[in-house]
Amino acid sequence: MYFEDIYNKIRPLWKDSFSLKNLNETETYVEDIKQEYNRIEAIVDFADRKNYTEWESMLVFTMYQTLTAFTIGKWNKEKVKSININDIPITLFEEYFRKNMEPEDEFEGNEEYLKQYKGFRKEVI
Amino acid sequence: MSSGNISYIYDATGVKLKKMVSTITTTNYAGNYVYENDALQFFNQPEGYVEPINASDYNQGFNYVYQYKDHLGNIRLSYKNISLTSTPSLQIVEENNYYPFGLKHKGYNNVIVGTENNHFTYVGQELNESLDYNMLEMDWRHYDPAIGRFVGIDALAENYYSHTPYHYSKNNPIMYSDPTGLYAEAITTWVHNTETDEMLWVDDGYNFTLDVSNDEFNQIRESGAIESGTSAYNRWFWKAVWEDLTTSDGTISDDVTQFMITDEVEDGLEMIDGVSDGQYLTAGLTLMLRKVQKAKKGYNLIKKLFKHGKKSKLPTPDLNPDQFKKVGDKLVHKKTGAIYSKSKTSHRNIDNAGDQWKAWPKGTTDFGSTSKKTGTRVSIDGDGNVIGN
Repeated sequence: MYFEDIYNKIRPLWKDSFSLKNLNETETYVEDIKQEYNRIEAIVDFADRKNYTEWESMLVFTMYQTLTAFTIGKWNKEKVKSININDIPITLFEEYFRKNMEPEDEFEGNEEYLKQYKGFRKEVI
Repeated sequence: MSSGNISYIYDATGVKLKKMVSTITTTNYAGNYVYENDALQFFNQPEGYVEPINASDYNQGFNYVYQYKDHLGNIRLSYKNISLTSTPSLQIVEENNYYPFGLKHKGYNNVIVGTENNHFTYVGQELNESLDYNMLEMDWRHYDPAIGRFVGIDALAENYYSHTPYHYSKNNPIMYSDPTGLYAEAITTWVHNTETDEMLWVDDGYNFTLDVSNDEFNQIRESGAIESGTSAYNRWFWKAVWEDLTTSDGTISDDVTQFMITDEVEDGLEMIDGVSDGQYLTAGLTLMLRKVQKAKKGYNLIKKLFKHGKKSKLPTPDLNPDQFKKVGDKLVHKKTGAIYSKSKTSHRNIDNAGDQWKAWPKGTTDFGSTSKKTGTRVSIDGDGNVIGN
């Protein structure tokens, strides 16, 4: 399984721009991104489940992780008010996606999916 | 209905001694011996009764009548041996079938050999058909099986406040019987876990206690047995209180004390606050204990998760996404291995803002309403607050 095949199916579900409102209160998450994640998760995991696989379901969550981590990092440095999803390199999304399957702490890893995963189809420049 | 009077004489303890139907029939109850107009009708034997072949000439001998009863104690079939040789020859004396509330079926199986014995009928009690009265004479009250109601008020009515004081067996005459007219007795198998002293009901129409191992007990519970109720729970309840709330030196453990003060266990305590009677106090404590027992299993999970969450909040995948990994439809907390899933009901409505997470300890494989493998889940609302077990 290649990353682009999964990403190209999920990326259009996300809107492009997110507000960072209330981030100084929420600290660990961005309200706007969380709302968007909940909306997309509801589609992929429940409402339209038959049109999506575990791969896409994993990516929805790891994209939420990536967006949140990137946004919080940027806000800590620059106190920006909004963020655009296109500012985030696709390699970062892929990195979070792969890490999600690797063992860490008490999590034993998702060996079954990791074996089938082949990363990028084309080398990203 | 025929006119006349039926009078009864009881001793000081409530035992029926004599019944007089107008001036026609007088029945004397002398312990196990019952006389009608001074002639012996029968006396009891363990499996039925013994009746004289000729009440005016005992020298002619006696017949032993045997009875088959169903699980409620209803006398369904009476038979006797009419053989004069050593080879038995059985004859059915009487067969009775009943509607659930005790009215006799009529119109079939109505051949009665010899004298009809109305002293043993529904739940083993006497049916009084004199003067077309047609009532069952329970120990404390008379009962009309045609309407499924007692005709006198329940002496223990305050114990059944959710029912009319004239109810019979909580309106459930299959699972309960009430031959005394005082209280409904549950007719059900008790399953006793010999390792933990837990109890279950199995509503199978039998009436005995079955001692089983812990594995067998869990199998029976998973197959749908009823959790034991409060009415017969006391012995196990207090043992469990002692074992679950105390440490080896007899003091209440700090963890449990803390949890009782801070968590929803107070529901049970509130119930205790509002009661004064021992029976309801026990019910309240039982509820509280069940919450403590369940809470204790989930408590360790909560403690672990608290270490990794914001103060007074538990981590959830949408509030702390960096702490989780996604596997299938579950999310795993990396530091503790706790397994999270989102309530599907909230997803039936995409606009539903009231998302709820459920977390199970690491290693859980059964994601039913309560995990049976490794402990109890905790429920967490969208803001990371614990909202129950």
